[in-house]
Amino acid sequence: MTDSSSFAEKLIEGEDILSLTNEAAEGIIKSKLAFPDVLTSLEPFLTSVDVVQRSNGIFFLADVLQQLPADFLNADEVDVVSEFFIKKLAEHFSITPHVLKGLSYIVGMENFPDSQVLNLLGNLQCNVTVQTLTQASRLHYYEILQNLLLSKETVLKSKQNDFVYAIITGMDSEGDPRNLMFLYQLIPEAYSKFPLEHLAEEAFSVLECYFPIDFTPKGDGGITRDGLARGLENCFVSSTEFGPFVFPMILEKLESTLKVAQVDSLKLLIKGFEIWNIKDINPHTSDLWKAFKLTLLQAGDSELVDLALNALTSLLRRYSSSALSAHESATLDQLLQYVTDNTHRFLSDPTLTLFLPSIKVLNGVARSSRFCCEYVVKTVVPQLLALAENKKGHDAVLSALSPILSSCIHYNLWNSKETQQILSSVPTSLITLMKDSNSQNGCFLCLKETVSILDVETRNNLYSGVLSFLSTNDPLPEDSYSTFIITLANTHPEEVKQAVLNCISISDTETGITKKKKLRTFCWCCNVPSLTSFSSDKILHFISIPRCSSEAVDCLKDFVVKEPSSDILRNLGTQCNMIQRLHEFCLSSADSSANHVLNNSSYVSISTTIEVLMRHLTAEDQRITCANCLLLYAMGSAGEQVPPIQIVLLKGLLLPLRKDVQLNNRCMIVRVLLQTALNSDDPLCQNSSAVLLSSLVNKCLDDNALRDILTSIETEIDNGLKGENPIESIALLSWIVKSLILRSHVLASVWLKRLISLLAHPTVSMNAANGFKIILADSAELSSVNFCSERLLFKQWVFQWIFDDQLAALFNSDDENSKKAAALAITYVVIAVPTSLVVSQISKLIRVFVLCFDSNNFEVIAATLEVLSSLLSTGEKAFEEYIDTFIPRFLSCTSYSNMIVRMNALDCIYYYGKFQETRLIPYKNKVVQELLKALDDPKRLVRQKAARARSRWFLVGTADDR
Amino acid sequence: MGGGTEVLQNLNPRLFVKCVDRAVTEDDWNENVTDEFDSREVFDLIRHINDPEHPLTLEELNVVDVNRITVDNEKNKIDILYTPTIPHCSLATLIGLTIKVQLLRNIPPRFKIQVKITPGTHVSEAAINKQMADKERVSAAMENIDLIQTINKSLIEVENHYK
Repeated sequence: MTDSSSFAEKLIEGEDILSLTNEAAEGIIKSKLAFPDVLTSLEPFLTSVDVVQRSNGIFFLADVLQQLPADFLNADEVDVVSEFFIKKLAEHFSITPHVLKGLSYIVGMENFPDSQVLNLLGNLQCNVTVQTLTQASRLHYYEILQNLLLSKETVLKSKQNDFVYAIITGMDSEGDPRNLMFLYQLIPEAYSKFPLEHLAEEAFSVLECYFPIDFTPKGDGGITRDGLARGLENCFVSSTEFGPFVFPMILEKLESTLKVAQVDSLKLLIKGFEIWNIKDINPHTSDLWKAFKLTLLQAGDSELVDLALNALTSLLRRYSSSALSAHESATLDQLLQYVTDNTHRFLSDPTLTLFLPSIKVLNGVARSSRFCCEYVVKTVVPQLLALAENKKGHDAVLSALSPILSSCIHYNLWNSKETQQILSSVPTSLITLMKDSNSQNGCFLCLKETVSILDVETRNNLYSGVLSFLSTNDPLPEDSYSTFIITLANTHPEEVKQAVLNCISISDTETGITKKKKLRTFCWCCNVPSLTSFSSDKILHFISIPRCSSEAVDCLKDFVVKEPSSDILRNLGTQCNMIQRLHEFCLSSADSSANHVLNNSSYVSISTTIEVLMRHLTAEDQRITCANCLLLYAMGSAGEQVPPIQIVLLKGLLLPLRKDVQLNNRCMIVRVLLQTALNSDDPLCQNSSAVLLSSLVNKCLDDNALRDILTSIETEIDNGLKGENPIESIALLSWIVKSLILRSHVLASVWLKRLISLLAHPTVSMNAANGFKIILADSAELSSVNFCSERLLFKQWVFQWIFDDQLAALFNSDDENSKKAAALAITYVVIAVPTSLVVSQISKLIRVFVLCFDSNNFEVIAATLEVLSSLLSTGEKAFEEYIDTFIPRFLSCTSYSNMIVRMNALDCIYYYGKFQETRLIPYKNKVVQELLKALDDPKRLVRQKAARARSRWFLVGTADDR
Repeated sequence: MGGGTEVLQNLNPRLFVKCVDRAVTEDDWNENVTDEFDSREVFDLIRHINDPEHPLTLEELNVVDVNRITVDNEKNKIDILYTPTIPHCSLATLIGLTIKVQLLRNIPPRFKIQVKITPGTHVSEAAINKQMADKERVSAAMENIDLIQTINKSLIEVENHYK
């Protein structure tokens, strides 16, 4: 072969052989070179008397082997090479790293012969002292062991102790985190396959010294303390033979004051209890409980408490699920006895600090197994029931009982002979306790758990109990009652309908509380699919009755806003036809001939309800509903003012429309909205129209139609500014600008410039500045929830656009008023964007802020102080430089005539008090002294802020670690 | 622990329900109405002070109570009674001093502040009351760096409870 011979020549000519490895490997893979020929060519190096030459030869060979695929060499070739490398283990120490590297690749090859396994293992033990090697070579050593484990397990079994011993001696005193991570994967696999026998203690001691892991990661190596700790944990739980040794270590670490030691010990216990033998755990249960008790009952760190409880639960679960000897069974009883003995004395009074921690422990115990749950029921439930009955009003007792009852249901203890007698009286007691207003919350929590096991008679009593609860003026414990009634209605829908819902009526003399309770019950029952239609009909019925209509409207709104799933909302919108029925009711009741007229806030609530329901409809459903509802509006006749109620409802109907829902009469709607936005006397109506118009602008997909709409809006705004409605025109303009910015429209900057030019307007400059508040505020109406386009980082865009292009234009007027309006506008922009962005422009901004302080308009000063307090609250260091500028100004603002200004100034002083102390100390005395006046402010709210600021400044310069 | 004790003197103290935050009325925002100092305002200044022994506030342990505070705006006088959790509590003086320091810092100097132990709730009641009333001793205590740092530790959490 010419290639082989030319390669051999290159080697003989003395070229740097290490640069030829890639060429050799590529040649072998592409069959241009024969592997035996390469070996032959290397002979002068491999057999050289010069150590360096030999080392180079072996390095070369190992590197070539690394690049060959695992199945490339045939059995004979692998045999020869492996034999050679194994012999070389006894060679000069400088060669050993290369030999190990070569071996790690050879052992990974498919044809590595079984016959070499024990030979290799023996030689590794005799000739390699791992502790003298570098990190990379130690890793190769571990890789050899891992490859052997993966492919030669059967052969290794014949000398299993040797293999385990190789791991133990190899890893002893390993300190590199990369190698440890590797070992923590190898060890669990090895120790779970090979019995440790007499080596168990030694295997344990080489692991023990790492526990708990202490490691601070450097750079982005990807190795974390937690990763190492979990790896070590897996090693300890990989063999049941560690059981006898692990407990003394854990018990010692649990006593440590170092949190990490306790956390790792508890996590190890949680995992280990499932693995280690009961006979090994058994002698230590008493000590373990003592350690847990300290954590559980001495109100400490909540993470530790949760872990200790998990560990206790895991221990009890292991005992309960294993076959136990008489002795072990007695230990379990003893352990449960310890738990109840140690918690019993704290259960006598729910106001004691340790009542809740004790209950938490008992809940954990009850959750762990059926046996333990029975024990808790027998020892604790009667005591808690007696406590609840004797000390009425102690809701904590019943709240504590509820999770125990949940465990009883889970373990089906209601049918157990042992506990039936105790538990059977619980529901009746709870129904009786429901009469006590201070126990109702706890009662509902407990009853919710027991709903599924109640017999007919008890259920009937419960329904009567619920009805009488609804008729009393006791406050409604919303969370517990809602989950209770929903669970009850889900379990027995027909009974609840007949025995509760059908029996609810609202009379003229009812108080607000009972009305609310009854109406909310219907709302919550809407969550039960089979009762949705029935309950919604009832709610609409109550809305139509004057004596409870506003309460019913509010309850329905609260329900749809925060409660149910989208399925329920969709069902209410489509099958129950709620949207159209609400429209029919409102538009007919608004008519003067109707029986009663709702107040404005009720119409707003109905509008919100419609909005939420519409939002959950599909595009097709939205189109149909919208077409049907729009027929009910009277917007046809031009020139006539549309009633405000219609605009409020229209907002609810149209705001959540999806983009692809086409409105047939959009032009007419735009005309009406434009008319009301500028001319209506009702502020709510004005605002609703402006918001709705901006929403239509945001969602209009046809650009030509959009430009038509914008042209008509522009004309009307111009007329309004020249005529009688400049303020309304600016509000509408601000909303349209916001809408265009949000949809990233090309005209956004043109419209924004229009608003900026109004900052120099002689009469409405301040209103124009307030327009920036509208633009920058987060608005739910124009958000993706209502299917609007929402440009990412739009506030940052406005900020950057103004600071890059418009800042000079803003302040080029000589008029002081327009300058202050511009400063106020910038203040509103600044308040809305992230601090980091503001800090980038801080030097330009300081000028604006100072200008604002010179203003005699309290609104400007208050807004400036608000911005500064929000910036200072982030502790941004850039402000340290300006302490001289700000502190005197803040102090003078503390005696300003307006209380908002005083309060904002005191907030700013407070936040400055958290800055670096060395900067503050020169001002400490001045601030503390000047704030004395604010302590005697005529307004209490100001005094509170003054007290907070003064307390903070008193702490300046007193920190321990200053 | 503020007192430097290694073993808790009262392991399982009784807990009391915290009162709700003071509601803000329309008058509170009216510049023309002057808000006089009242016992609730003084209580709000001291209720969130941390107990030196437990991670609990003086209010939760019922050491201070709004009903045991009297404020006389006419005579510029504020009297406070506080109740140690146990009659032999060695931290009673420290707690009293902490209350006093908090009020001296945050009540206008026109008020004379008197901090006393609720009668019959502590074995060394008379001695502690005498200490608290002695201006010289209180001033000296406030200049003791170790002591003032312990007091500051109890006060540092208070600011987080302001609205």
